[in-house]
Parts: sequence; C-alpha cells; structure tokens
Amino acid sequence: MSKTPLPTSWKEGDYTVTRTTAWSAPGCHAGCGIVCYVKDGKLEKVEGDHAHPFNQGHICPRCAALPDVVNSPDRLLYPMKRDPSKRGDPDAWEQITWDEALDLIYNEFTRITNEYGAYTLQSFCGTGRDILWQSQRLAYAMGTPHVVSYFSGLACWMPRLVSYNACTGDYMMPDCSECHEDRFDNPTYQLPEVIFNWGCNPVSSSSDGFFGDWIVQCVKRGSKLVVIDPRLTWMAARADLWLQPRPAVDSAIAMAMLKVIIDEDLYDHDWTDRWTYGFEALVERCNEYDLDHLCEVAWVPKEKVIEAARIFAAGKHTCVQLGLSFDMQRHGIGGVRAVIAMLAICNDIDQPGGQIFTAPPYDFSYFSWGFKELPEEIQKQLVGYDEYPFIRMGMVLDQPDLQLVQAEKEEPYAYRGAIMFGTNPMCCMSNADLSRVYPVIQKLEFIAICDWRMTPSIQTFGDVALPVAMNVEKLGMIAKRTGACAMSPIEGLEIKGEPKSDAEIALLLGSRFNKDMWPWANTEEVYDELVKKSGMKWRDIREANWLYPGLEYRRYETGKLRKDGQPGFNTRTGRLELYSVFAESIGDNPLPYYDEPFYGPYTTPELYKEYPVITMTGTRNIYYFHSEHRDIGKLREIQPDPLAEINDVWGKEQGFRDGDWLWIENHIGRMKHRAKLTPIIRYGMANVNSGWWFPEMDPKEDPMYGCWDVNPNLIIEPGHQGPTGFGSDVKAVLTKIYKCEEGEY
Amino acid sequence: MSEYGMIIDYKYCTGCHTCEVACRKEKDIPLDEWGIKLFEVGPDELKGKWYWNFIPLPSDYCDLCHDRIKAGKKASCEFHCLANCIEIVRIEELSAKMIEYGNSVTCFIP
Repeated sequence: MSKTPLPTSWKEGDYTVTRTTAWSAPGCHAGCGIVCYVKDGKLEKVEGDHAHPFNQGHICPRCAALPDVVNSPDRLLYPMKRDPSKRGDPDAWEQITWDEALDLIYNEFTRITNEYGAYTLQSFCGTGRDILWQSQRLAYAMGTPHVVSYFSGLACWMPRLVSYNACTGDYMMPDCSECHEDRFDNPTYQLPEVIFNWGCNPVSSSSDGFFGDWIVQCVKRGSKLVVIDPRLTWMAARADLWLQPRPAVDSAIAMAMLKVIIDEDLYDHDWTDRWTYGFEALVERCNEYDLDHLCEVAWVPKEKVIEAARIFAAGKHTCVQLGLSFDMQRHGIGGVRAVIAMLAICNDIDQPGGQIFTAPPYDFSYFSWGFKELPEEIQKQLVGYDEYPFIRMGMVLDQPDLQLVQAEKEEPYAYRGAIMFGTNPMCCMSNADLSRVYPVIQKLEFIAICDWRMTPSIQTFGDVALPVAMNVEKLGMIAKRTGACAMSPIEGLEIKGEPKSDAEIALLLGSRFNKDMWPWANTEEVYDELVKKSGMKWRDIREANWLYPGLEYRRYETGKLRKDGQPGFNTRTGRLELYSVFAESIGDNPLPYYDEPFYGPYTTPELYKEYPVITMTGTRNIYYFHSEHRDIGKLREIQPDPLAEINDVWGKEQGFRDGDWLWIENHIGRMKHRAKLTPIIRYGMANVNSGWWFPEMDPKEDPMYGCWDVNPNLIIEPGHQGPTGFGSDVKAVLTKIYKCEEGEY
Repeated sequence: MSEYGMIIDYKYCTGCHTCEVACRKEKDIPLDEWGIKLFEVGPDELKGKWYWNFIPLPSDYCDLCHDRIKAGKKASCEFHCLANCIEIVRIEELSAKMIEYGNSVTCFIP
C-alpha cells in the first residue's frame, strides 16, 4: 500500500480515459483491470490495463467488445411492467417510473406476505457475480431464506468450496503468482514445477476467478503441464501428459493416483506426520480399492495413471487447477478430497508454486450477508437445512433438487413471488430439468427481473423488468481472492435511460422491506459497511485502483491461518484433515472415495444400451459468458450456432456432417445442436454448449427466442444429488443422437 | 516497405479471438470484412503427437496500427493478446527476435 496510486482518470486527445474493473454486468467472475475511452459522452473503446496485476493488460474478446454491449440498442433503459395475464406478449409492456416499479414490487410482495407468509417469496440469483450479496440480503430483508437457482446439486464451485473447507479450513487455488502485486517478480514466489489442469479448460472459461492465461504464462516460464480431461483441449494437446478419462469419474483417477503415491512411497513422511490428521485411515481407504479396477472403470491405461502420480509427487511444487467438472458429478467431492490429500502428503499446501489459501482479502465477506439476522425459525426453512448440514456452510442457498419437488408439490407450501438478479433461468442454471423448472416458475403469481437487456426469461414470465447498470456506469467493488478493486461510473460517460446497479435496486427495495437491515442512504455507504473490518472505506479502495494484501507462504508454521494464532490449519484438529472430522460429525463420508454416476455404463447397463452416447454439457466458449453476448455481432460471428462436438470417425459412420442439426435425446427429453465433427472427443461420445438463445428472433413468434430446444437442461435429471446435497451428474448424460428431420430446425 | 514486422509466436496462441475483436474495434472494420483472422490448423495426430495450432493472420487492413505505434503504444492485437504471442518489432530485428522465440514462430510484414 506504500506505492503511489496510478491516476484513475485522465485525458488523452479527445478521449476521457478511466481505469476501472470489469465486474458484472455484463460478464464473468474475473474482474479484469480495464481502461475505458469515452468521447462525446459515449464509451468508444476498452483496453486492458497493463498496470493491473490481475490480467496485466490482457483481455478477452468480451471486454474488447464491451462498448458494443454498453451501447447496445437493446439495453433496457427504463422500468417496465406487464400484466401477469399477458406473460409472453412482447406488446404488453408498459414503461413506468422507478417509483411506480418499486411500489408495485413492494405492494405485490407485501400482499403475498400477508396472504401466504414472506417465506413463499424467492430471490433468484445467477452465477456468483456482483449480484450475490445483493440478492441474498434483499431476500433476508423481505423475510425469506429462499435464495434460489434450480441448479441440481448446486453443482458449481460449492462442492469444491465445502470440500476444501472441510479438509483444510479455507478455499485453495493453484499458485500462478496471482496473489502477488508484483506477480512473477515477487522474491518469495517460485514457479510450480508441475501444474495439473484437471477437469476444466481455463483458457476458454477463466472460471471461479482464475484467469486461465496464468497457466500459459507458467508453462512459458517452464512449468510442466499435465491435463486430465475427457476432451482434447488446446492445453491437452500441449501437455507433457494427457489423461482422457470417461466423464464424471475423476474421483476414480484421483483415488488411483493417491493409491500409487502411497503404495510407491512417493510422499513426504515428515510433513505428513507433522501436519496431517488421519493418514492411517487414508491408507486403509486406499487399500479398499484395486488400482487395476479404478483405471479400468476410468477408461485410462494404468501406465498413464502411474506416470501422472509420479509426476505429481515429484513436482516441487505441484499445484492443481481443479475444475467445475468435479462439481458436476454426483461423487465429485470424493475426488476433490483425494486431490487435497495428494497435495497434502506431497507437501504442496501453502508452498510457493503449490496450492495456496485464498480467503477474500482484508476479511471482506459477502456470502449470505444477513442470513443470521433472520429469526431462527425462518433460517430453518432453508431448503435442505436438516437434510444437508453442508448447505449451511459458506454460501447459504436452497438445495435445488429438494426445492424443485417442494415447489411442484406445494408442500409444505407453494412459492408465490420472486425477484431475479443476474440470471436468465430459461437459458442457464435451470439444470434441474428445465421442463420441470419452467412450470414451477411460471406459476408464481408475480415475478420481477433485473437485467440489462430483454431476455427469454423476461419476455416469457417477467411482470416487471428493471434496467441494470453496467460496470462502467455504477459504483461497486469486487473482493477477489487476489485483491480488492472498486469501480465508479467512468468519467465523461452520458448514461442513457435510467439503469441502476443491482446493489442500488437491492438497497431501494431492501430499505422498504426492512429499514433496520438496510439503513444506508446510498450504495457507497453499503460498501463502506462491507469493508469496515479492514479499517478502510470504499473510496480508499477506489482511489488506490486496487489493493493487494499479498501472500505469505507456510502460514501453518507461523500461526497465521488460525484465529487463535496457534500453528496449524483452521480445522477442528488444527491439522490438515485427510480424515475430515467435520464431515464425520454431520454423518458424511470423512475420507476421499470414488463412486459411479447415477446413470452410466456400469450403474445402468440396460439404459446405456439404449442411450450409448455419453454426452458432456456446459462447455464454455471465451466469446460468450453464459447466456450473454449472442447479440453482439463481433462475437456472434465467431460461433453463430450452438455446437455439438461429435467424434469425427463415429459421426461419419452415423452419416452426420458438419452443420447438421442433431437431436440429442435421453430418457427424459431431447435437445438439439449443430454437429461439429472433431477428433477431440472420444469415439461414440458428444459434448454440447450451454446458454444459447437467438436474440435476433422475433419474440412475437417465440417469446423464448428459440432457447427451449437448444437447451441441454432438458436432458438433465434432478434428484440424484450427492450424499452431501452437493454434486450432480450434469456432465455425463446417457443419450442417443440422430439427425433432425426437415422442418425441425 | 514497412518499418515494422509482426512476430506471431503461435505455439502459445490459445485461439481466444481477442485480436480479431480488438482489431475490428480499433480499425472500425465492418462485420463482412476483417482485419486479422484466426486460422485453426488441426487437431491432427502427427508422428504420434497432437498437432493443434491457432495462427492469426492480418489482412490488407493491417498497417501494424501505425498511429498507435507512432504514439508510443502497442498495436491493438499485440496489446490485448491474451497469451502474449504477438510482438511488433523493427523490421531489421525480425530474424534475431524470432530466434529468441524458438520454435513455431512466424512473421507478417504488411
């Protein structure tokens, strides 16, 4: 913090230039540093901020196209309302003032509260962007614990988060120098000798706040790369070793590698003795498995698994970029724990270039802000509160699979109204079978949706639409796991219409419902409250552009991982728990394990005969974020259609050609994509995109803008969540694939 | 003859298309034309190993962002390239610089 801050705003010729952070809306989880150029009140161009430690000037095509998104003629500019009896009618919208919109929402929710109880209200939140604490705290102010996404098994990040927490006491990331403001130049930093990139393609997705290119930078500098992925990715093609497992059995590979490391005595005895808990139990657990069997069911040759295990153990240090795929399998948690165990016994935890602890900086904590302020009897109405104690850890969200059944059966009560932030559930996140989620949402009496443009969700079931401000138009901040950045409306920008930030919308509504929970006069005061533990104010962070607390290594030796200052880890035993005492205390499996998906070649061989194509879902493309950006010409030209990657040899045998529209069908439904024949997929398998809709379509013909048929959420069966309530086999669906008939596309 | 040339270190191009969008924006190129285009070669199995490269190639629109370079900035594609695999250097330095980059590197002169 001793450095002189760089200017936040300056003049450059005709341009007024402002450096800020790209933290939604629109876009992703990263929050890159950007430099915005405004001329005559209009955002003309956006460049990467080379001074920013996070992305060091590099941006993806979405930020390069940010002016087109901000200046889009399709922005929602003013609040609108539509009679709930006219849902789906694009001509029935009526422009209203903010006061009218807020009154309408307040009055409808108050009516519902009086008639049915506040707990019949829902607050939908999309993926964890700058909408999360907003949707949560507003829900709590409304008197409901229900923060909702019908997202089977909460299969995004949560399983990894709770697994890391249960074993190590905190969340962890690979150390690609991202926590050091001076990055690779930091004198305490060492390059990872080995990086395992496992179950994700970060150069396309930059998921979970991890900037994918960091791995490329490490590889350029000499890190060895091992990729474990059912698809050949660009990274896999360049890796020193690539393992191609069957989808959704990463836990088998992880257990097999762990077994090799223990059986071949490749681990660090001294570190394991001094710092871990439960090693004997871990050895016993590994002894329960047969290496040949694990490799056979994972469809990976044993020699490759052994080679991977040896590379892992030899790395000084080794780190793992652990992907979303672990979340999107019913028993992924067993695999995450096996990976943590490998990192621990090989002495890669909290080491430079190893796996590092990355709590939010400066003690900022946004998750579930205000949940504990709810009366206990309301807290207990959280769906899954009794069944899944893990649900109450960290980010408090309803368990979606149970909630869907509750909403369908209206037991113990029906849901009546909802507000939605940063979500487009017709296209995204409704993977608890969209054909079941859709009617459950449609029967709500009143739905208000905040978004920056018209979406299939707003057009299909919105009763009030509230226009949301973009990152360049709003006051806000992001507490990334690397550092903190704040943003304010960029200089010189003339904001069109009356968009408001999600935070301001939550404040305006929240203070009507519960002034005690929302006592602040403006959003700056809200952020001051959020950061007050640090002794700073929001403005201090904005003026600094970014603040990095830095990273010390081996904090388990210095007592800095624990509140009591004792050496060790922030766990019940104070040791890194190979055997999780917390998991045991709530009746969950305390050790790493492997188990099969609910449907698969070994669990349901008869179904597999009928549906022999294992289809993976949810592949990200860097030019789109979830359901965004299909309306931006510069990006849409890169991939105009939703694509199903089909193995080229198998596809030709089936008579498929590139561009053919294909039905991908399983026992509960079917969806369609266009064929892309490619060798990156294993013979007889497929892989589909997500989030597709066609903004160019006339909503009078289809208020869903064509999103229904192309949505893989139609073929994902809920109710098979993992034993903790987390995890669901989203990425390994048994299907059959055939060409669409003429007239079906 | 151009004073500068572009080095493309395509062993590290991840295929993100940022150069295409950044160029289109910088030069205000309409959607039916292009300033720099990303080509994909592979994936093919050659000599038992996977060969899969993305290679960006500039078009006749490209003047290596002459105005930006004169103003002391980097060309738009070079500036934003996610994987840092584009570098514009003085033309007489091209070959020495390419040797530094090692294998799988090519160059473009407008």
